[in-house]
Amino acid sequence: MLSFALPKGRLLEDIGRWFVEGGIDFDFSGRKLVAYDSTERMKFFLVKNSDLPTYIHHGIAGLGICGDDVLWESKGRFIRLLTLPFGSTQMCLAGHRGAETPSGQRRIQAATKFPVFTRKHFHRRGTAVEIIKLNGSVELAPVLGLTDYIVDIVETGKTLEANNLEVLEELETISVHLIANPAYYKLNYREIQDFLGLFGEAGVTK
Amino acid sequence: MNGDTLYKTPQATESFFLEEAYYHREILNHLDSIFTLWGYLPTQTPVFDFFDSYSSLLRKEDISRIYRLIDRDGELLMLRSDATLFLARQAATGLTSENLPARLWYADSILRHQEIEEISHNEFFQVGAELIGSSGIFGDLEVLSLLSTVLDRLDLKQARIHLGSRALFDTCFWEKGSIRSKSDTANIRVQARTAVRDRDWGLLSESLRNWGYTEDETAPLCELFSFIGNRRELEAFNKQTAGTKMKELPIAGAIGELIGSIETDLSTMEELGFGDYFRADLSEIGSQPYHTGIAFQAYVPGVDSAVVSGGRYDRLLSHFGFNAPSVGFSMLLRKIETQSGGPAAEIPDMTTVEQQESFIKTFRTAEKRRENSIICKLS
Repeated sequence: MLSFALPKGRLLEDIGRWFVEGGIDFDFSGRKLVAYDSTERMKFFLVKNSDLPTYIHHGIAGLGICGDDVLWESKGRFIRLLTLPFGSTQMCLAGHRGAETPSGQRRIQAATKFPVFTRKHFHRRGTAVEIIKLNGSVELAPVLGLTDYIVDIVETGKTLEANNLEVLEELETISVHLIANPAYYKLNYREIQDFLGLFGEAGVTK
Repeated sequence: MNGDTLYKTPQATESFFLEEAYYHREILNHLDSIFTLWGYLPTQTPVFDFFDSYSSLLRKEDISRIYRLIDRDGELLMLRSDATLFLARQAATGLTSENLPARLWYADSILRHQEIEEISHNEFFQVGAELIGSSGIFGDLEVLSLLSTVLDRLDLKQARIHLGSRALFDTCFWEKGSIRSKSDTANIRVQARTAVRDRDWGLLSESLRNWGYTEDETAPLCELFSFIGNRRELEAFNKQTAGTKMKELPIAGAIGELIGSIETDLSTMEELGFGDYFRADLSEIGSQPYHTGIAFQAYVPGVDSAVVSGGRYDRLLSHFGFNAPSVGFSMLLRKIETQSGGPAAEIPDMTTVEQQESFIKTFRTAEKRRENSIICKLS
């Protein structure tokens, strides 16, 4: 039986539709956190998005679906089996409307929920960055004067606009992936290849 | 006393007691008897050694995990983070050519930093066997059959050994054939190794193109490293891919031969009755930078990462000044203890001698029982 960890939240509906396209359906209604497909050959766990890599890393679920944003922050090693055709967003640098985009080595301060990504990104471009880790409502940081910049996922930009902020730079595209625990993949590679075959993705996969 | 330090265990350490410790020791005794029957002698490696001896063999990721300290003379030391590495240096400086081939086994704790996320990985204890001074397929087969025997005796029938080859990777990314600078060559090889390990075929294509392969050549090479299957499937694949799709490549012959030698390993294991344990997996290219020939990892259902890593390391000992081609494996014992159905998992029944009028009398009563192999404790 293949086991999947799926993220609660915005992606779940798209994920459900994607599975249906492959002829697999499951139902998490009634606040259930564990579900099976109708043939009971697949088991699905519903977990918090940011915890998903932890469950895969420890082999609690063998497969999972999550975005690059979550994977960048995780220290686990995963096989990315597929990039899925939905859920793509942008990781952006935002600040007060008209603020200067940081350049050169000048140290900046940025508030973010994504410290690993932020540090790596700015160090790669040769900019020193002081990171203040927040767990939500990151837009408040420049509004209240905590930092000049924020690094966050931007979908519509409406919250930014309402707070007199704007996207200063799109830093990276975030895609959604089907990932696997490497040991689980090795032990179950035939079943996983058969599963990918339902979506026309057997053989050398990415 | 600081309560925080009293209740916290430093990362990369563990302690275990009672049944768990008993079972751990039982498995070790079991392995001791297997290794001894195969002519492997125990060896002990130091807990720490000079960092300088190993620094050029360590990857950036390894260095970030090892514990280093400075001795009283100001020399930088490192704690034992990889038993094979420490054993290789001891063997290179302690063995002579008359001792070869040397068969050694070890059971040592390893000390390296683990992130909080990895703390349940149980990478604290390595047991391994090394065949030093044996080149060629006989040595490979001895180690593969020894590992199969160990899995058999530990009743790990569900384990799967994925067998590949570092030589296959080295043939495709032949260092001396590169026209680039030394650092570019090294960077592409590191990127390609990561790509194969993570089965990231997009990244592997990029590495192959950067190495100088054409667009048409990268597809069959990605297909090559993505292969997992049984011996028959490998034979068919070898005919199809190495023999047809890659035949224009100058390295096609060498690739075909290397796959052929994996086929030989697998068919020998089948004849010995170990076939079910094995799969050909050409993405297994060695977990360590010092691997050279065959490379393998073993996986067990219910365990979140490989439990055994091994392979040939023909040049490792010459790094320490002693030329002795070698092959071996290392097992993360704590990972498999809960999965093994091998030796008895329960502490045998014990009897208790109640306190009598004198300690001497109590002791003697207990001794009588012990003479009859009855486990006996004093009340």
